[in-house]
Amino acid sequence: MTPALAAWRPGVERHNIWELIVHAAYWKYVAWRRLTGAKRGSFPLAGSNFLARPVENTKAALQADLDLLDEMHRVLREAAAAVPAGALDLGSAQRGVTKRALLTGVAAHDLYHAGQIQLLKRLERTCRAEARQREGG
Amino acid sequence: MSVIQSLVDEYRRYKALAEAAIAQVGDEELGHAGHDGGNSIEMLIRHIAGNLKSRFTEFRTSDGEKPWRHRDDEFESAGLSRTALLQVWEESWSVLFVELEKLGDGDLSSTVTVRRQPLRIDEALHRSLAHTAYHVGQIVFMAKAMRGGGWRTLSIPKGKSEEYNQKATGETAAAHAKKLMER
Repeated sequence: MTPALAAWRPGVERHNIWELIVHAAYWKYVAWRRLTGAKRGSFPLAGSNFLARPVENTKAALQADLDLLDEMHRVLREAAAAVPAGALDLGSAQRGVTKRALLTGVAAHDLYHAGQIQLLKRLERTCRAEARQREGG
Repeated sequence: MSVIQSLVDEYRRYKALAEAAIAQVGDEELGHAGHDGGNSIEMLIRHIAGNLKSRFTEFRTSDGEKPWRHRDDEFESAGLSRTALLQVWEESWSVLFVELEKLGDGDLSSTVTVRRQPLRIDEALHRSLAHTAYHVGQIVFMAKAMRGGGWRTLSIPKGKSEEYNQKATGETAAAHAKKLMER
């Protein structure tokens, strides 16, 4: 994926793929924190939920955010694997939510946004082709 | 909470998310194809419904891809009215929930088949939830594009994360679904 594709927005105030990448990383971090009981404030980036992207529209900046997504995924998977089966139905640090429900929820959340990323890729390709046609015509 | 209950709650959350998005688009907009002949919301509704109905009809005793399902047709416009479309939608979810009610966590390691491939029931359920969440994400995305500035948000409003964290009310999947359905 190129930085241009990741940064493309379908409209004003609509999220781009890049923001969805960081959003997914952020919620994996939140799930990890709620699973392990770790304190708030250790997400490597400033801000929460949806962070504006790109700050720098470069390949290196995109790769850094993709690496962050990978790292948050790895850490969450490790924490999930470390929960004994018998403890899955105990509460997490999220009020009223068991560890099992937390993990089921964050997995579905990932897929929800994955569907949107696929849609954005297709939209960007189409809009780019239409723009080329307009320029050519 | 059982594994089955955690899945039921998530299914209900994504059903409610889709319905709250569908409620915000006009009847004609339901059939608007995406760019480049992409799927319309109507097609996505019929695809999710077709998938759920096929997978969960006689869930444990027959293959999940039924001979009466015509998957490719789900991506062609059927020109259904909103009422007819929502009837197809509700019927399929009803098939799912009736089947899930019959299951207990002791059944999760049993096997079902989908396209003649054996799958453990827990794998089949997680795969189905993932598929549903994936396409609901697309329905919400398209509905939001159609409504623009008039969009009524389905989760935490932009810039309100901290305020929400102070008095969170939709923390569980069931609570989130309930909140969406009461709007």
